[in-house]
Parts: sequence; C-alpha cells; structure tokens
Amino acid sequence: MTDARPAPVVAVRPVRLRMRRPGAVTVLAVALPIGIFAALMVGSSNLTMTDALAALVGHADGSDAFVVRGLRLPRVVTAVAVGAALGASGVLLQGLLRNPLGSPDVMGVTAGASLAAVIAIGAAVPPLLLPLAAATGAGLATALLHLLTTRAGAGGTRIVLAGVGIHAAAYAAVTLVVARLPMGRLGAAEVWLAGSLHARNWTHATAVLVGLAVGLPAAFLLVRRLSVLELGDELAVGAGVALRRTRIQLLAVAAVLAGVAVAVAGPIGFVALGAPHIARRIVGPTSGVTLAAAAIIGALLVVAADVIGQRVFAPIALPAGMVTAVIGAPYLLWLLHRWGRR
Amino acid sequence: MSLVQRLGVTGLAVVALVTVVVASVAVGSVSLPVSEVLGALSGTRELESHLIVTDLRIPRTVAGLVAGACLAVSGVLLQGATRNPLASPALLGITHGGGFAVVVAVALLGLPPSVAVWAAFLGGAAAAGVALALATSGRDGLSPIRLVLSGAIVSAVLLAWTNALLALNEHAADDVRHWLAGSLAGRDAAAVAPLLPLVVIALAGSWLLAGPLDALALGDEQAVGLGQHPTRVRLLAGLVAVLLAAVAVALAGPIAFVGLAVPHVARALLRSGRHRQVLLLSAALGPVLLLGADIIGRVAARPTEVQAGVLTALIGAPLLVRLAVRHKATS
Repeated sequence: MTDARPAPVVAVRPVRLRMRRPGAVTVLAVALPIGIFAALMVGSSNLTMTDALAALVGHADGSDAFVVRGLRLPRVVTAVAVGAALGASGVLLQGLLRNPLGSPDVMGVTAGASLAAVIAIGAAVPPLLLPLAAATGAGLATALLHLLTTRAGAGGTRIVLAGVGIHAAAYAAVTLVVARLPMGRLGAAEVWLAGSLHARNWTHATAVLVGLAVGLPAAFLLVRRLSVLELGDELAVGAGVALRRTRIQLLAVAAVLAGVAVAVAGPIGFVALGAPHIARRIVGPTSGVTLAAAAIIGALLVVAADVIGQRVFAPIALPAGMVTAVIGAPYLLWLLHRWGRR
Repeated sequence: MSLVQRLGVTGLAVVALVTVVVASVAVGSVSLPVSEVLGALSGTRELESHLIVTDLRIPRTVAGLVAGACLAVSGVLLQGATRNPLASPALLGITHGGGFAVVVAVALLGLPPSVAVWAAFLGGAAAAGVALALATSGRDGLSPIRLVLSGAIVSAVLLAWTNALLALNEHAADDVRHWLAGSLAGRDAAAVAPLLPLVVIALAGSWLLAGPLDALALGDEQAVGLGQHPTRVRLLAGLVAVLLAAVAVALAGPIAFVGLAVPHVARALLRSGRHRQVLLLSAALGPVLLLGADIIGRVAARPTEVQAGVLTALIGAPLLVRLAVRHKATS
C-alpha cells in the first residue's frame, strides 16, 4: 500500500516505478463480462447459463427474453457505466487533492449533485435533463471545493474536512427540499436518494454512457499530468504543468463523471473512494492503467452491490447504494487507520 | 471585558432565550390567535387550540431547552478537553453512535424508551472511543483535524448501518425515522422529567470542571504545575460531555452542529475563553439556536415541518468549512 500513496508535498521522494501488471488488468477485463453475465442470470427468477445466453442473443421464448433483455440488461449496463464513472472520478479527485480520502462522496460533490437533482425533481424537469442538473450540481460543489483548496493549499486534511462540511450542508438542503416536495414527487425523490438501480431502462443507460463517453477519454488525457501533479506543486511546475488550468480541468472532468453517475443511479457511496485504492494496490501508482483498472473495479463493485442488494435479503431488496455504504464504510475506517501509519 | 459588557451580553442572551421560548409556544405550523395561547397557558382546556399549546408546543419547547443546553455545554467541554476548536458531540461520532445504539435498543430489541438515554450514552462513548483510537493510531499522534476526521468517518459508518437496519425493518423504521432526522416534534413531556436529575448532575459536573479546563488550556505542563491531573480532567470532561450528548440524543435525536457552533459564538461574544463564562452563555445560547431552528422549521414548509436538525446543519456546516479552512493546526 505504501508505494501506492502519492508522495507528500514537502518530502519529495523519487517515485518508485513499479512493474505495471498487464496481467492484472487482463484478469479484471475478463472478470467484468463474467460479472455482467452472472448479474443477468440471477434475480427474482434465476435462469440457467444456457437460458440466459439464449435470451441474450435472442433465441428464447418471450418471458426469458423480456426479463434478460428488457429488464436486466439495461440495469446491468447502467450499473457498469455508473461504477466506471465513479471509479474514474475517484482517481482524479484523490490524485488532485493528494489525499486518500478525497473522493466525490466524502468531499460533497455527490451531495451537490443530489441537491441539484432533488431540486430538478421538484421542478418536474423531464427525466432526460436530470443528468444535466446533477452534473451542474456536482460542478458547483466542485467549484466551491476549488475555491477553498486554492486558499488553503491543495494538500492536507483540512480540505477533506471542508468537504465534509460541504457534504453536510448540501445534505441538509436536500432534506429541506424533500420536505417541500409535493406528495406526487416525494416517492421519486426518495427512491432516487437511496442510490438504487431499480427499474433502470435504456434511457438511463444511454444517459450515463454518453457522460462516460465524454468523461473517460478526457480523464485518460489528463492522467499523465495528474501523476506529475501528485509529486507536489513545485515539481509539477518544474515539469511544465500549468497548475491552475490542470486543476480546473481535473475538477471539471471529475465533476462530470460523478455527476452523471449520481444523476442516473442516485448517490452510491464508497465506490469512488474504494475503487482507486484497490486499483493502485493491483497495478501501482496513478497512470492510465490505474485509471482503467479503477473504472473496471468500480463497475464490478456496483454490479456486485446491486446483485447482493437484490438477492441476499430477498424478498426485501436493498438499494445498491445501501449495500456499498454498509460494506464500504468499515473499509473507510481501515483506510484512515492505515493512512495514519505511513 | 468589563463587567458592564459581560452583563450586557448575558442580558442579551437571556432576552433571546425568553424570546424563543415565547415564540416556540406561540408560533407553529398552525397559527393560533394570541388570546387562545394565553388561555391555554392559564390552564383552560376547552378548544383544540388549547390542547395544541399544552400538549404539543410546551413539551417540545421544554425538550428543546434541555437538549439545546446539553448539546452546547457538551461542545464546550469537548472543545476544552481536546483543546480542539472543531470538537463537538456530532463531529466526534458521539451523536450518531448514540443514535445507532438507540435504534438497536428501542426499535430492534424492543426495550422500553426509558433505556434510550443509557443506550445513547453507551453508543456515544463507544463511538467516541473508536474515533479517538483511530485518530491516535497515526505516527504523528493526535492532531486536531485527524480527530475530527475520524469522528466524521465513524459517524458516516454508523449512519450507513442505521439506514440499513431501518431498511430491513420497515415497521420499526416508521417510529424511528422521524426521531432520527433530529426533530423536536411529538415530544412527550413525560420523557423529559426522568432525565432532569441526570441533566442537573451533569451540568453541575461541568461547572466544577470549568476551573480545571481553564488550567488545561494553558498546556498540560502548566496544568500539572497548577495542581491538575490533565488525563483525569480530560476523562471526566469527556464522560460528562458524552452523558449530556446522550440526553440530547434521547430527547431530540441526532442533532448536529449545535455543540460545534454555540461555544464559538459564546467565546466570540465574550471575547474570552474562560470556561465558566463560556459554559453559562452557551447553556443559554444552545436552546436559542435549537429552538430557533425548530421554529423556523415549523413555518418554513407549512403545512409540513422541517426537522430542527436539518436547519442546525444548514447553519452549522458553513461554520465547519470556515473553521477547517482557517484553523491553523497548531496544538
């Protein structure tokens, strides 16, 4: 874990270059389709592997084909895209803030997106504009974070604390808005706030895929400068990185990725926090490979959380966001414990 | 600060306190004519409006008074004991630890509501202990910001588990959900009375701890020189603070930011950090903030209500951001 951490600002150590492990990424890339397929098989009616495959490629009777292609496939595709967006967003924010806790759900970005989305639900905007509203909210929260980071210095724990404050204020505002919603829209807002993938259709999948198509390539373009930025501001300037512009770009891309994910699935916590850490443990310090690995791990985590939430306490279905929170929160404690020991 | 100024500040606090208490009885999601409110106060129980005042508004005002004072004093003690301006019952995990324990004890195990305060005490103490252990596990020792960050994360964990427990237990959820949002609505006057001796003991204890905490503010070595045992003072102050926070949690649910904000306001008004004065003023201003938030919550979303805890978070969270960005992590 030690060499996965960004070097501290003052004591600049030479970055230990680790063998990038293409093998690990290959394993992940194989694990993802397997996870997707497993998610297509299980549900309130379990299908055999052959049935599910037949339904997927279109050689099945009406009900199986409807369940797999009409209900489960859009849900799983949405879960994959949401997880990938969250994982990538986490890599960008953690690198930028040089802080292992700097993820959109801790720093108030998700909360900002939630606030904007709840307001949008209250204003009865068409569902297609919801991702746009949430991305705007994420952007505003990130801009606030940016103002605070430039004043207090990007590193340091206090910026995380400022993020915790933004998170608390935004969530209080969410409760305030929800209390004023008319009865008819209350249900929609509450289901959305739980962070659920329930009843996601191709519209949702398309919305988040579009966001991913914009955000992910941009993230890959920025990741090179990000790994230089992690060495500290002075070194980054020395290496010819335009600090201010890079930071604004990184924040903007992280906000878009987190925003579309939240807009489609609601606030699913701890994925953006955990996925980058797991990715760095597997493939080493921040690089394009880490970014890809974090996106795949994020996708796997959300798909797994959705399946667990549907099946483990059946017939009660828990929203995926609750599963990630219950399992991911202790991981956060462990992370904090480890972080103090470096 | 001269005696005159101090008296002026105290006078203002008392006026503010009386104002919110009067407003809390007179204002609500249903507007009542003043004559009927006065009638209810003189003991008449004829109209529906009389019952609204005596059975709904007075109990919640009393609960707000007690919970607000407890939270504010708890915040003063914690900030003094840790010498950390960011310390407060909510940020150290005490509030959510208490909330989680109450949900487990009352909603899931079906224990009588009278054990809520002790469940909250145990849960709060355990959560604060975990937060403290996490914060001190680092090589750099206990830094003020790390302590608060650990508390915030312990709170996040407990909040997630509380929500999951409620999702799996739907009928328990309905009773508890309202309370968990940090609301004063629907308080039973009978719930306050058994807690009062506890509150009086804890407040007396904090009054006695004020002197030792002043000594502690000079630094541990000076405090030892003044004849104090820093560890013992910290432990006692921590226990009293957890007890006060537990009373507040049992009465009003997990309400955040009152314990953080009020001591800062009190110190700013007094321009002094003397614990005895800060304690007194905080005990008066805590109910002002909590009842003020409650009153705003009653009228902000008529005919429904917004829980007081939501409004205190809206007021207090920006203060946290400001303190986090400005505060120099020195001590």
